[in-house]
Amino acid sequence: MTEMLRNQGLKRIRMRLFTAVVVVFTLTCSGSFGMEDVVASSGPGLTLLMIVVLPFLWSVPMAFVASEMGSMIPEAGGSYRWVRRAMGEYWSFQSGWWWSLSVFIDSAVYVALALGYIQSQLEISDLQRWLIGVAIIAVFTYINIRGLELTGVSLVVIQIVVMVPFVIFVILGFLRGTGEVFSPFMPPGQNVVESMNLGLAIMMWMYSGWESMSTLAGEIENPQKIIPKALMIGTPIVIVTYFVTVAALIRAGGSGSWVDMVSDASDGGTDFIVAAKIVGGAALGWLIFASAIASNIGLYAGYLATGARPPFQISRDRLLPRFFGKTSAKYGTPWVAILIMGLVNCVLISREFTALIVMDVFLLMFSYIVIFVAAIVLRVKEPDAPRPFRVPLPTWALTIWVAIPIAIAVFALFTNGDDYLVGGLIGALSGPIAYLVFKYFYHGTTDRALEGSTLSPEGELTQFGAAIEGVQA
Amino acid sequence: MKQGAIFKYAALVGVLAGISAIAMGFYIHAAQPKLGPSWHVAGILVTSPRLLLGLGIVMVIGGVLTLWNPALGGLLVLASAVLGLVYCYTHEWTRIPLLKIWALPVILGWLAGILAGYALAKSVEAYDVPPEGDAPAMPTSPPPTIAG
Repeated sequence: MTEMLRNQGLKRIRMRLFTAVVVVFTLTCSGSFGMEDVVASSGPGLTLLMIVVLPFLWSVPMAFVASEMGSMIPEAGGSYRWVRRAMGEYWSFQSGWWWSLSVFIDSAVYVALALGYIQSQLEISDLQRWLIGVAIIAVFTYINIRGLELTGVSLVVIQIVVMVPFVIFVILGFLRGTGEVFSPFMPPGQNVVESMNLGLAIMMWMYSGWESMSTLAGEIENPQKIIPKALMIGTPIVIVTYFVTVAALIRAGGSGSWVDMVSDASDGGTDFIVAAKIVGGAALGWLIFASAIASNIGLYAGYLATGARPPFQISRDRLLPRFFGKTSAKYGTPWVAILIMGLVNCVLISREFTALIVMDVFLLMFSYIVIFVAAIVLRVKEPDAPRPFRVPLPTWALTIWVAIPIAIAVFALFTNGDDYLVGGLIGALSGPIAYLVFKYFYHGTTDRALEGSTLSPEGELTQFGAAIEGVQA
Repeated sequence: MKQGAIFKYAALVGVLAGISAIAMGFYIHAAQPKLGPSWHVAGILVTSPRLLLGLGIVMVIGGVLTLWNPALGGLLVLASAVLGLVYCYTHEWTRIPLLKIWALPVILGWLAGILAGYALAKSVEAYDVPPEGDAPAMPTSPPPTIAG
């Protein structure tokens, strides 16, 4: 075994499988708000079909790949470290940069969405809106700095607030609703490609996040077992949640209401809140309203936790300013990275950041493409490395399977709209620029000296890796 | 790929990106000189052909510079490509025609940036020891069992 490498000051907590599943559910679903736009653009039948089929082409491959690589390389930073092992420092930096940038923007979007719901019902000024946003960010930044234990508990509470109203809504929606769940299949007069365009982009976004939990691997005991299990349990739960809630929405909305479904119905149309009022009265409407706010706050809390870890790890690998890599001696968390992310979010929600959102989707796509390629490269380069979870497919079949989401990502790149294409390219080019700057100033670290590495460059278990595996050094 | 070769390829592709931008500048000057409204920067009228020519020259300089300083050279090439894309982004009604004009310089610029990154990685020696002093080692509690 190779020499002991330090645990970077991170504290590992014993996370229950239930909590891990809730974390996965939060990062990949957290309620179905946003699906209303898909129903309107793709039609009821096609939306429900996409909910069932798309995961097997888009998110299930990522869930499996994340499980395999996460079990092989259970290190803080998750996919950033997988790509490093497979493709070296340059591409891992690109992947980590794109992913982190995307999550920094995404997380601000969730706070903005929660504030949008609040503003739709309460008359508040822009300053009050911003102060409420800052309060939300401050609370969850503190919770995150306190550690994953408290973060996990807060996510469980939030998901109860999110899902209980949905359960009531689904029951009443099916009992009292009058809408045709599968009819029409898609908007009349459109072909399948036209119907899928916008719906596909939104659904790809709704079905993303399966790799996120792996970034927490450095702070969970037995991550190589618990994270794959949580992903395998979480996948069908998310699919069923989306299917049942969207079917209930179409039914509750009433006949023909799918046409004007929109995720924010404050200016008219039908969203989950309006549909809930139809079948459950004002009380259920308010419950779903609370669920919508909690859903976005939950997403924020989850992505604040996962989004801060790659910059922390990149900094520890000497490719970002050193302060990003500081850990709290008391709580064993990367407190500076979490705090910086919170501060960035505070700034973002104070202004219009639509131009950044158009970059966001593509940054995530680019990083996904690199992660998928890394999975295949690792299968070829290190076929015999220990993988407690292994996708039950030979490498050639796995290659074909991951080629599908890559193709979908490329397809989306060119069909989302020219603003997304150009904005996404600008975001993508920020990766090579950042690498040139940070590599020049901070130099990077050799593979042999990587902190918190579970495998040596030769494929041997390090002492650190052995401790995680429970093998005596 | 050997270190010297990466430097040369990075430089070559950077210069090609610049030449393609200059060529596109001449083409657009002849074919569609008024494609999209111009930028006004510090009193200078920046039309599409002028921007292509100007940034093309910067890319050529950046490409050549990559041979000596891949960080600076690569930055010049990439920053020019990003500026070109920003120009496309800000011209909502002619975004796609402009993007078609900028496609080759941007793709070559991106490729030059990747190669410059590789060249930099080869020329800058990475640290062989983990950073010290700012994070006390924290024990991982009792080692968990593999059986979970």
